[in-house]
This record gives sequence, C-alpha cells and structure tokens, in this order.
Amino acid sequence: MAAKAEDASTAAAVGKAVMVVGIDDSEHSFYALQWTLLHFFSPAVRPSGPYKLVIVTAKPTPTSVISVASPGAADVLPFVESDLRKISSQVIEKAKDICSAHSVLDVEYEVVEGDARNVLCEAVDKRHAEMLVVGSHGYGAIKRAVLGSVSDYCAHHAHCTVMIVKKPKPKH
Amino acid sequence: MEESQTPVKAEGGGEDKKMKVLVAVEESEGSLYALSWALDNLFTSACDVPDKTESLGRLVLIHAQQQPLQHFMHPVGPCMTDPHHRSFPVLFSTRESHVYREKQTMTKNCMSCLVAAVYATSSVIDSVRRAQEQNSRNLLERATQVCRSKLVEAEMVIVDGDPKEMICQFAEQMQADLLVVGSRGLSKMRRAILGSVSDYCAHHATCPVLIVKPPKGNHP
Repeated sequence: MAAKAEDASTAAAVGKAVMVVGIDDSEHSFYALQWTLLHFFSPAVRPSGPYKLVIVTAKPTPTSVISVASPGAADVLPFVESDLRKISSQVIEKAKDICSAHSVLDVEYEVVEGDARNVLCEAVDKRHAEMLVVGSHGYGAIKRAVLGSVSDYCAHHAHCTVMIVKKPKPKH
Repeated sequence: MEESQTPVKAEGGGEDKKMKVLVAVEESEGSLYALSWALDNLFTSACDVPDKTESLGRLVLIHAQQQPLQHFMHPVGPCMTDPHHRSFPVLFSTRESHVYREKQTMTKNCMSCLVAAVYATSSVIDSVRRAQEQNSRNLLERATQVCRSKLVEAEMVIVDGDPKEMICQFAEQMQADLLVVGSRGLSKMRRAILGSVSDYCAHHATCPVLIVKPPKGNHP
C-alpha cells in the first residue's frame, strides 16, 4: 500500500495526471485501450506525455460467480478461483502486449479483486486520477437493466472525467 | 528523438492523433467547464504554436436550441382546429428534456396532463425566437472566447431540436472521433449526478464520449 501511495505521489510530483483504464477480457475493452493509446499516447507527445497510464482489471470474487450455495460448491471454489486468476493474468498479459506494440512503457498494471464498478471508482479515488477510460459493451436498454453496466455506473459515480470508448458497429 | 515542441506537420506519427472533437455547449456552467477542460487536456501537444488546432485536428462546438414554441404556442390564425390533437400543449420547464419527451406522448391523453394553451401572434413567436437566437449567440461567443484564450480555433454549429438526439446525430454525421459533454444539466438538482443529455449521449452516441465532471470544489 505504501508503495502505491508513493507511486501516486511521485506521479503527481512529476506533474503527470493519472489516467486509469479499466479493462476486462472483452474485445471492447482492448479496443478502448488501443484507442486511448492511439490518441493520447501517440509518438508526438510520448517523451513528455501528459498522462501516466494505469491499467486496472477487476477480478470477480469466486463467491460472486457461484450463485447457488450447494454441498458441491466448496469443492468447486478453488477451481473457480484459479480460473478467474488465470483470466485476469491473461487480460494483463494482453494489455502489456498492446502497450508495448504502441511503445508505451511507463505503465502500471493492477488486478483488484471485487466488483468492477467499485474497483474502478476506488482506483480513481485512490490514485487521484484525472481521467477514467472504460470500454462499453453497447448493450441496449434491456440488457443493461438485466446485466448491469459498468460504464454506466462509472459515468455516474466516478469522481473524475470519464471517457467511454465504444467499438464502432460494422456498417451493413 | 523528436522534440515535442515542434508542431507536428501531419507526418506518420502526427496523423494518428488528429481527432475531430465535438464539444456540446449549453447554458449550464458544467458545459463551459467541460470545454475548457477539453482544451487544456486534449490540445496540449504543441506548446507555443499560435494555432494549436493544426496538430490536433478539428474542434467543433455544437449548441442545440430547443424548440419550445411548437409545443407552447400556437399561432392565432384561420386554422384553429388542430387535426393532430396538439391543441393541448403542456406547460413545463423546457430544460427538462427527458420530461419533455414523456409529455409529448401524453398530449394524446389529455385527461392526465395540465391543460394550458397559449395562443400567440406571429410577432410574439418571432420575438421569442429572436431572443433564443440571441441567447445562443451569446453562449457561443463566450465559448469562442474561451477557445481563443487557449489558442485554439473552433468551428461553431447551431442545431435546432431536441439536444440529445441532435448532438448524437451530428456526431455521427461529422464522424467525430470524440464527443465531449459536461456532466450536469441545467436542472441543478443536487442528486443529478449526470444530466439527461450527457446520459443519453453516453448510451447512444456511436463515437467515444468524454464526460467532464465539475472540479471537486463544487461537490455539494
């Protein structure tokens, strides 16, 4: 924790605003990351770019994934946990690849356990981020009501500027 | 290594960053703050260039004028019988655009809405329209001032109609790379964390949307 606080303060000391990019394992997230790198971390500004990039992914807790408590649940938990952990690390690996493909090296990666909505908003608060970037699944109203929308929650509740990057729909 | 001081002249590297940025301007304070935030943060690459927009693409300011007139006022004239059942317009605040939408559909069901009709001569309608245009022009003047003080040239567009839809449509038409909106609307409700226009744009715009929140000092 102390290390993290130090990081945030050194970033602030250098005068760089923090930009948090929230990703999950969907295509939309990676598109959002690429779009952000393209437009905010392009070669023109890179040497003294205005933002410090922090990539955050939320790892759901196993108990939130298994909704029914049953005798077998306890046995399944470890497998679910390792599965989730594997997915998160794959997400981070892919993010690292994307960043190095765009030659952006000064990046922090963080995996936080919990619900994506809270994780992202807390990350913003903790690091005093100037901007939060999220992708969007582009759910319609019904799906959003049923599945919930992280980007929607963040747009309402984050304490900083929020950028919602959408993957353009292919034109028919 | 290229110095970031030299203006980028549309070479391979600079190309990527050229963005067409559309900023929605309305009369709320949040909106002008959003504009200055966007200017500060999106147009920072060139330092002492007289016109920063060169390196960053286009900045377009859009202001959507609502048309309360057609639902408020009816011109007094020979055709007083309105076959479209619009002779029961509803009086309400023009700023609450989401409420606006609901009430439109309610005009068919006259029992449950407030009934008030304002019949106005064409001169009154004209003067209201002119006042509205004057307002819009003042607003855009202020916005251009802000842009000029940050050394950015902006284009201005005024559209008529429902702000939410017009802004999203325009963003699609001009193929904007980014749409910037403020977060609070004119309603000034403390609990309205996100105005209706910003909310609509966040869900329905086809391009990336940037929602600028007011600085922490203003949190109630």
